[in-house]
Amino acid sequence: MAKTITLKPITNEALSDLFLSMAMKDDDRQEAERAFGKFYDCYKNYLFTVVRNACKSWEKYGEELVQAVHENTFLKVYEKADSFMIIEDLPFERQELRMKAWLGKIAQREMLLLLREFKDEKEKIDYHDDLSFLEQPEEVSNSQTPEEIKLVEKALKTLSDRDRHIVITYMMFEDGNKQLPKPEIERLAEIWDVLPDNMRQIKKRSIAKVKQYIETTKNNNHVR
Amino acid sequence: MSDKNETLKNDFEDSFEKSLKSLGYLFPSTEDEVEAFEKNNKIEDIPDNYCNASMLVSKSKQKSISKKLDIKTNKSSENLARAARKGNDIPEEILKKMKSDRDEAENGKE
Repeated sequence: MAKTITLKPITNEALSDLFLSMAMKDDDRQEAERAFGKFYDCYKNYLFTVVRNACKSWEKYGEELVQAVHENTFLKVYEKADSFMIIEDLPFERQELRMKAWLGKIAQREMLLLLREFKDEKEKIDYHDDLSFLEQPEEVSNSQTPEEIKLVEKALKTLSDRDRHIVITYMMFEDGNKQLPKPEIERLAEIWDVLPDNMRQIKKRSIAKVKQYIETTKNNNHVR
Repeated sequence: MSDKNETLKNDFEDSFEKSLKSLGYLFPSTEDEVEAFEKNNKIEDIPDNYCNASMLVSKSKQKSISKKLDIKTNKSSENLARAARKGNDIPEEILKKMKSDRDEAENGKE
């Protein structure tokens, strides 16, 4: 059973100071490392939980992948601390959510980079090297209700392990016009003993099944 | 339909993806997704064998040291190659080519 812990809150000003100290590591390395230590202690458990959950589809790489993503993400934060802009007028809770969202983006990129390194045919993995997303403004997102999210979770449970794994892997890699890299398709095909050519079809059918489940449940609830 | 069009997500897929991020199957990367993720998942302690912050920083310093060592090693192998040519000078053109190859290789490692 997972242990519930409470992260010690820090203030807006303190978070801003931590980033400033890390960003000025060339001027005062000792202070930068102290700031990094505090930042790490505050967010190590949050990031561990995020990474461990998101790496579940790549369990064959074991704990090593989770640990490497966790470490690399923090090191990238230390290296690129000057990329995170503190918005002074924002309440701390939102500031922290923004920062955690930023951590998530870095962690995803680090995971895709590591997966590429684990492959024999590195050149076939499609990913982007540029870190420009670190400085992009926050995406505008439409809120989903907790009920909608729970419904998606229920819908996912109606899928077989194979279909769920394939859908999640596609969603992890596909971003805009990017496609699932060939080595990943081959890896999935080997794990689940299906033809690589059928993979996209499985993904489409699975998403349609999830959609159907959600619509039917919503309609039934509406009728009642 | 082109490959590009095939991978463009429709509204449902967008909303499905957001839910996967909120549930933790994918990395939450917006404020809403982080908020929902924290509601849906219990935050756990990192395992004892994970590095602390100062160990991590030391590790990253070691990495940059080994990178410098690699470059030095390349330099000494160049000297050895020179010695193998019995001390004869290398023509300017070849030196330029060697330098550009080395720069390319070093930049490629980044």
